[in-house]
Amino acid sequence: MKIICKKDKTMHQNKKEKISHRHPQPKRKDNSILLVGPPNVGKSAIFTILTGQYVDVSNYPGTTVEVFSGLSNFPPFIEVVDTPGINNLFPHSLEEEVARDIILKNKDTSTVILIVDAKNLRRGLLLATQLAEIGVPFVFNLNMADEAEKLGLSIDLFKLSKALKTEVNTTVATEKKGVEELKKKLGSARQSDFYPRFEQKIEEAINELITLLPKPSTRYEALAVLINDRFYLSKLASKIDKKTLQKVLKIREKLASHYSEPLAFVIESHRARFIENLIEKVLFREVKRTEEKERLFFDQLALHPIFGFFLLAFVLYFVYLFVGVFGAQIVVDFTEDTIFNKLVNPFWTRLAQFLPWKLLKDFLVGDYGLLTVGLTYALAIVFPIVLFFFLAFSLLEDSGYLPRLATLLNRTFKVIGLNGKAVLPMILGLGCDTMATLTTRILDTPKERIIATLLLSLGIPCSAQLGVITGLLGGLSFKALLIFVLVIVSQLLLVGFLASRLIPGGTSDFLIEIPPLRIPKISNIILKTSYRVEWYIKEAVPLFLLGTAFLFFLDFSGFLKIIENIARPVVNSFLGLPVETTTAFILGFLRRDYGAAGLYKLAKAGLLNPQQILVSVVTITLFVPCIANFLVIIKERGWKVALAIVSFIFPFAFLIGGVLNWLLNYLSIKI
Amino acid sequence: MEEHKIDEALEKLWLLKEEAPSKEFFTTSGCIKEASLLKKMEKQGLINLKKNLVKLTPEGESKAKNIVRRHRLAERLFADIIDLEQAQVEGQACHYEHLLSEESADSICILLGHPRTCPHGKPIPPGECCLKGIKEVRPLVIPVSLLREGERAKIAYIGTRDESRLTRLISLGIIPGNEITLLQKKPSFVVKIDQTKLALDEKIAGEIFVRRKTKNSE
Repeated sequence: MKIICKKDKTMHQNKKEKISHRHPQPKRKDNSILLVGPPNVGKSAIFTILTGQYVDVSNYPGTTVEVFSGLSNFPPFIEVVDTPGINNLFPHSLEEEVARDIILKNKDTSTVILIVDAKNLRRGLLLATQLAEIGVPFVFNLNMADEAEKLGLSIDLFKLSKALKTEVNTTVATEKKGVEELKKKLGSARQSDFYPRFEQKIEEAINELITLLPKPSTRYEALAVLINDRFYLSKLASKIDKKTLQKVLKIREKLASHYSEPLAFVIESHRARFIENLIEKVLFREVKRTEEKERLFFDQLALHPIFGFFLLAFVLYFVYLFVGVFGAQIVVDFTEDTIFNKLVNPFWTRLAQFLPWKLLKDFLVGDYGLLTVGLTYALAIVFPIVLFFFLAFSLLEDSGYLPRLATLLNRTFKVIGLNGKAVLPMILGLGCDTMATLTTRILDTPKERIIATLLLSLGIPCSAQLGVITGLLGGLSFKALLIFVLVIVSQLLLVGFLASRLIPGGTSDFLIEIPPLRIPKISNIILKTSYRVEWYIKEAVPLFLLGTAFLFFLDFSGFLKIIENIARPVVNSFLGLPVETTTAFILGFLRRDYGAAGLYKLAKAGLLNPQQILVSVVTITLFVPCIANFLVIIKERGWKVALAIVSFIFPFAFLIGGVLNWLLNYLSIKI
Repeated sequence: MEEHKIDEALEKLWLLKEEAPSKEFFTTSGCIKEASLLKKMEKQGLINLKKNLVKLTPEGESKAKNIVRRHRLAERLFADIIDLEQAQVEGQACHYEHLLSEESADSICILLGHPRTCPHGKPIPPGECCLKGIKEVRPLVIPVSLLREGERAKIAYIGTRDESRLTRLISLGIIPGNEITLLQKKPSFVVKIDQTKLALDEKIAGEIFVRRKTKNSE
């Protein structure tokens, strides 16, 4: 970016002294640095540079629900916290509320680095006014300065700094430019008084509110009341007594009655004009027409109402080749057959010979052996598949394709009571439904979260399961694969459609930002994938082992036989499957792919004919969520919803499997 | 005020020409008495002067035509639609001839079905809209959802009562006065403000009202 900045340093410093006289800044000892800013401005990249520690860098608005922190790699070696992306400090989503809470809680002991996109000064300044209202010292850091320069934008940093009364800095985080300066400027960050002054009536209300609200409150909290910030108000109710609350609400009502527009609009549009005034003075545009260059071919393609779907099909095909063929078949063949079955497992078995008790030997290396079965599934089959899926997913995420996919599919998702935002958990569900269920938090209403959770556990096969399933169906015919996809997709649409009618509650606005398409950075992809794989191993491997142990005891105690006998009529006559598949279904509850792998083994042994393979695969795909997913559903949605979901899915999966079997027989379709 | 005077003078010249179409020059004493005004109008290229004779230039003529058109359209509007008394019509119309933009005059014209004469029976000079035979009024302020793809417009106001949606839109830069471009309508609405691209529901796009660019500023 062209930096318009007078080099006269003494003058600059004199000015600053004057400023500090006018606004005496309290002496303080910081114990943290907070990174604050809108999504997709390179916050996480700067975090990585400041801490040297890895962070989940994301391109999809709202992915970083978790907060990342690490020690700064420069003196005074204090904590650096990467807050979730935020567009407005009066929050509209859970992530924004998290970011706001972190700032409010730490405002007396922290300095904020406000990281904004240099191309989008307006939105950065909006946050600056709000940080000024809160009264937390901050450095105003314009990132992606190079991109702004390409667009012909220049910003008068000197004037900007004068108006904000604090330090202004520019960086190009991807090239680590400007970061040293940023570190230096941190020490002289100041509280700003760059916030709009409103009409007298509003100012009076603000002052009145500050005295009533819990101490220490600033004009920020007063404004939160006035603009009807529901997150703040819901917390306020527990902090002050009823009488005071009544008074507080009355002040707002009285003020609101003076205006024909909602107060939020009056206040926020005044703020917008206040910011506009400064922008006119500091922002210069050299080139007017820059859009054409920027509207790249791929961008148009990804959002095209017809060709967008072709691109989607192409992307899915690529993911399938990468994960389903290369990962699940070529790599798994190597890890399972060559490494585990020929090297590792014989080693365990030989080692187990030295064990004195047969029971323990069976437990470790028997038919349901902890090491020979559990560990093999976890590390030889699931691990490579998950690894390749997360590589592909991180690639899609960092390229900026996912928000475009959300835009493309918004209307389709409306049919099932969701909107485009639900694309993220659904795609992630193709990797791991458990992880995806956690991310349903990004959906705005309880109704949407329940529908997404239901559909995830009903019919979105996770990557491990998908890998085994494509392996199974790939051996049959294209027709089988087509029937499988048709059945699953139609059931998702049907159940989603019905759920959207039956579950009470509202749906939310679809309003997302589309970040520019970027070429993903390999180092980022690798870091991100390793972080996710680590999470997966920590979560999955113990459950694999637990599941295998559980099965071992079912088998050992004879319960497996009993369950098989109970299930026989359903499995055998209704689904037309051999009794042995019951074990696969029980396994399916432990881990979905585990169940599919059980079927795979049966099919390899020649116990299933093509129609039986198709029916069993459809049934196990629709079958109950795995234990881990079930536990997360309980945690996220509560017992009632979790039980309701499972008690719907359990009979439903068998029903659809049965109907499919009957239809195939009735229409005498050969697979 | 100067503008007003020039408008009045042009109007007068038009009326004289209307009464005597064959005549080319008119005596200045019959229409414009102030010498300074004459000079100014000549300087602006609206009239040609020949001693005490005056003639409209093509440019002056087209400007005069528009003034008369606005005046007479306003008369029709007040007489036919608003049903004012005859005496008031004239006075109001005199005001409106200065206030109306060409766009809004066209809108009134379309609304009234391209009237040919004013209430006094004098001809209303046809505008572009009449020649094209446009039947529907193209309103100046419309929701974003009705813009053409690729069209740019200025945000006029946001018509939602939902406070949370309102503040969210404002924080994304959807603020009255800012320029917004509608990039596409399908499969979802995509708009652009500054360097920010947003995808949104048709419903929300229908709540953002914009002022279309008028022909003059395009």
